[in-house]
Amino acid sequence: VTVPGQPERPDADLIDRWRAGDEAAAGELVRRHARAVARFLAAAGAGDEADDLVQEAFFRAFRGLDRFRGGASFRTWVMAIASNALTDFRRRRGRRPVLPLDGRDIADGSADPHGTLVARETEARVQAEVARLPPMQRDVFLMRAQQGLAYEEIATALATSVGAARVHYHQAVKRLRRVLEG
Amino acid sequence: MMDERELERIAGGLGRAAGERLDLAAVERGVLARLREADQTDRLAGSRPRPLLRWLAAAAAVALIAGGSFVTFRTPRPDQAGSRSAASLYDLSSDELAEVLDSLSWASPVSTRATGGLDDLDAEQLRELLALMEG
Repeated sequence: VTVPGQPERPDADLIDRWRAGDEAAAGELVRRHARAVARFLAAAGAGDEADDLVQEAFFRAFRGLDRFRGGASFRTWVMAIASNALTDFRRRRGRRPVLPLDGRDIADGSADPHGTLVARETEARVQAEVARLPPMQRDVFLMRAQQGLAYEEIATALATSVGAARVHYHQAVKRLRRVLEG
Repeated sequence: MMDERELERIAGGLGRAAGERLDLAAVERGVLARLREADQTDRLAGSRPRPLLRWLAAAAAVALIAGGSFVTFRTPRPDQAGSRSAASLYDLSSDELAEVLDSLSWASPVSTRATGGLDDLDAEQLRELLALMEG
């Protein structure tokens, strides 16, 4: 769909092409956004199920594309769907968030072994606590801190108000700081 | 003490490894395959008659018709009720009619005393009186 050397087609074009029956457009959207969605899910505590949940989120997104109004970006919208898929998965399996104990999801902090160790430990604690946050606080926090999104877009994607999104974010930060300092 | 910026910096790196090891091609294949399958199922569901629903609708219609017919058959019409009652009255003798009237007199709005006594009435009059009481 995207020709090398040419500027990327906007998501909206790909969505229109998919609606018109162009399967390749859907593939392009998956390739463009799946890694970000996987990161979001992994940080939310999806663990080994992250890959399957990414697939589930995109499947649901394309099937429910009529509900996509374009207030948030396609990527953010898929993340909100991914969060619901994660909630459904946990409810079905009765599982708690998967907390990374092996540091597999934790990136190296520096070349210094001691510094790396401390950074890994801190990151693991942050991730464990993020996964334990209430879903709305967790989603707002990750969309803001991990994905760098504006409150307006977060509020649209999560069907809440900008003010409520700010409150959720600050509650999440407060809770994480308290737990991590305790 | 961990400040907000430090927390955001750490959060920015969360899940990076999961994103990097994601098999994009596999996810794409999986999503497209599921979409094709769902599309096919939708098309089949749209064109295929739904036997179960049709059977249920037919069964409901039969039940309604049969139930309605049964109720209609078992419920006597007012004219039929009157004629049956009249027919049974004709099967009774004068004494039996008088006995019936006596047994009903406690609840009847028609005073048998006002008629001058049941013994004075013949069978035809007793029948008329009973029919009158029956309403």
